[in-house]
Amino acid sequence: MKRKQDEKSFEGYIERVKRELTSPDVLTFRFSSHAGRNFAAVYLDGLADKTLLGELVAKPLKAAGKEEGAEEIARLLASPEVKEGKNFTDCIQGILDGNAALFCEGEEKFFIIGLKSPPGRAVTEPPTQVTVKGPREGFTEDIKTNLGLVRKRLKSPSLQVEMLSAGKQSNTAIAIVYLDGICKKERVEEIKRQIGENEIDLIADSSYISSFISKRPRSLFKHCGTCEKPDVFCAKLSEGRVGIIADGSPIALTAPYMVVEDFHSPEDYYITSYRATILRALRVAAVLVGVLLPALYICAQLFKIQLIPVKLLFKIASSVSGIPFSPSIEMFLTLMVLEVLNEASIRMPKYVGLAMSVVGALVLGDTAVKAGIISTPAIIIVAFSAICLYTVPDLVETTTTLRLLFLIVAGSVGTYGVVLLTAFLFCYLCSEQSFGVPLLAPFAPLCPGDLKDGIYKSHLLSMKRRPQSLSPKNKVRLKSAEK
Amino acid sequence: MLKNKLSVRQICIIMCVYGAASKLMLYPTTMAAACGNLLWASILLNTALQSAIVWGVCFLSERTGVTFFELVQRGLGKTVARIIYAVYAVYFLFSAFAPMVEQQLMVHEAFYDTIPSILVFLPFFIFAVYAGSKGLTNAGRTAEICLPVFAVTVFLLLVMSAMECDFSALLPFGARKFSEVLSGCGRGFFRFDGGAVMLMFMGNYEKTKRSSLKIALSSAIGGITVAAVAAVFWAVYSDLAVVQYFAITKISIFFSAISLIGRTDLLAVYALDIAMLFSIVLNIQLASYALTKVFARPLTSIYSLALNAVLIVLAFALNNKFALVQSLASSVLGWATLACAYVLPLAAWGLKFMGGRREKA
Repeated sequence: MKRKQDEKSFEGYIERVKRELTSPDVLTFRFSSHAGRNFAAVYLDGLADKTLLGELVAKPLKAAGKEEGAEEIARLLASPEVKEGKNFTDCIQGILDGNAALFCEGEEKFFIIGLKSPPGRAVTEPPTQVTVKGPREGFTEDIKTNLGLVRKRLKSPSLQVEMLSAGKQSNTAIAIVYLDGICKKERVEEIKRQIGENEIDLIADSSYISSFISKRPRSLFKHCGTCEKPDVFCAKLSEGRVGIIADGSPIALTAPYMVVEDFHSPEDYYITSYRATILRALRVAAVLVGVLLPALYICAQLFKIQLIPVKLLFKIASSVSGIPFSPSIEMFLTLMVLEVLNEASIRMPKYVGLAMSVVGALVLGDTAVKAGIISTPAIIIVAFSAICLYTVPDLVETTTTLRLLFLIVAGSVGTYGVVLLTAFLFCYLCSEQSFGVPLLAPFAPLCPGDLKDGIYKSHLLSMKRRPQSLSPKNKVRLKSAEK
Repeated sequence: MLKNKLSVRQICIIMCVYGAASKLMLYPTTMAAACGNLLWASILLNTALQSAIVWGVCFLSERTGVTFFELVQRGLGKTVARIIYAVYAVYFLFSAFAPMVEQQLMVHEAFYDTIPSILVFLPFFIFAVYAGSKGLTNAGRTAEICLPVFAVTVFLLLVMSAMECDFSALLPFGARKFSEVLSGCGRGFFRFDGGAVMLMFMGNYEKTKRSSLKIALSSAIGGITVAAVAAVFWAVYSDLAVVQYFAITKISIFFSAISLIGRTDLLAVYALDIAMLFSIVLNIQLASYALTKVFARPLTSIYSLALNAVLIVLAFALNNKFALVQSLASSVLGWATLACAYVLPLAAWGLKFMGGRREKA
């Protein structure tokens, strides 16, 4: 009994914290009031803001008297974020989150004071979703900043944020964001349940959460939308989707997901609908060409030469004569070189980028052609295919894998293999769903109303209803006079 | 796993696209051999018959609101219902076989410059096993994806061929006897199994306003498309049509720009082949569905695997015996189609009346 009382004393608390958190970056700041009462703030060096600790905690508490209770002490604190600790676990968690735990002499209660100021970068334009027109802010790694960016755009009481914690060791904060009255509550509950069901040591990025909430985590196609821009995130929330923001990740998730989303660019909504439609159609065509062109070239060369126009055939024949590899091996090697160059150019330091470009483009490409190892058409086709696939950056992981699959099938089975694989993919995609919404919606199953924002982009004034495929609670998006 | 629910729109597309796609391989050539310049008339006659029976089944479905299995079960008991569905499973299995063999030959001719080994066709069965285990909802969704592919490719091929064809070759209409048209109807009868397909869809969709009419019309549109392709085919080749197998791969060969742009018409044929593949696989999906009713177990890939194993054995056993397959299909399968796609749907109406009287009594 006595030992328990000692543990809840001023020194007892400090000793216990030191026993639990043995790391040297856990610091204790001891100070006294003018009346001689002792206080101690325990915090993590590098995560908590020391200036704020001095200004908002130590300075006001100088006025504290010897006998004042917890309520009076809390009133003296100048910090807007003061929470009374319920138990010792609260205290440890609070310190690890980057806050300070404040202990007062002669008082069993303690306080968790919000002083979290983790190192992070400023809000900048996201590198994966660059736009010419429209907002340029992007999410950062800080969940509070990200939630602020969302709140800035959706100043509505319907915006609900539910906080969860995931990761046994990381205790990463996860925010489930949705618009009450628009989003189906069952979806939110399902996401919360699925996140809760998975226990993992560390949530390093939101992609971990994406794997947890996908029905088929091993699928080649993703089942969760991703975005780095708060404007896009808010637009998706207002359509009835659920948003997920993980602390430490600049990529927010949205669910349910439909494949067509990836063919949309944020800019489509800020330019004329005619231009947006043309661009979307171009993206679809580019992805098809990017995935299928190397495979079709192999098919034409190996199995059905009639597919190539006669004049072009002569050109190709003169280019490929003397190449020591079969067309499929040649294309495969060229593709591998491209993938290696791509990987190296992303990872290598920027200052060697120029040298790598020269080595890749001139030395490897030009010399390989001159040496007669690789033909010019193979390089042109692989290069064009790579450019085409990057028109839809969100799908690159999937499309590059598909391109390789198609290439292998084309080289082994031929054109019929390519047709069969395409049919197989259609069949697969038609059977896949993301939170009850088919991946190929609004095309299969067909939702005529949603086609206004599919490949064709109709004018904003025509899109009066939210996407039916998402079955939102409130269906009306726009009420306006007929124009 | 997706269920078997379909929408009226999906059924319409299945009837139109899959109904037409499976008939675009060898059917126009066989009709050209049977009816000459009146090949289109024979196709239209069969289409009219099929559309009528499809309308009848839809109407029955709307009246009863139950599946065919439940209807038979109510009238004749569960055992009879299971036996009938087992018969349908076998029927759809063999219905898949004839177009599958045609597809195999078309692949050899249109997809490769040199005749490849039969093994090249084996990946078809991987696809068929996978798709066959996906249920009717998946069939409906794939049909929706196939609709634009089918419409665009058929339109392109018709435009490319129409520029070089002589429609006067279709005249005079009286040059052939009506008995030849009827004989053509008989030879191609096994391909018009819309009534049987619709019987499986019965009770798996919610009726909407004029849904029976819409589905029957869709079936008719599919038939008219086939008749149009056949007519253009005859207009391009005239009397030589009988030796031009796989009409759809040949009709646009004389398009003037082909020498400049290559055989781009084949790209359209390859895209169209996706719809053809799904139309063949629909029979396997229906056979799997029938087996789930027979064994009263949920749909798993076991059914599709077993069905495809039979198809593989048949494909190897009857390899290079195409004439035999065709004659068996037009005779034996023709009678089976009469029974499964026409007589049994009519008998289903009888069951409906029987059930009605029993309820009144």
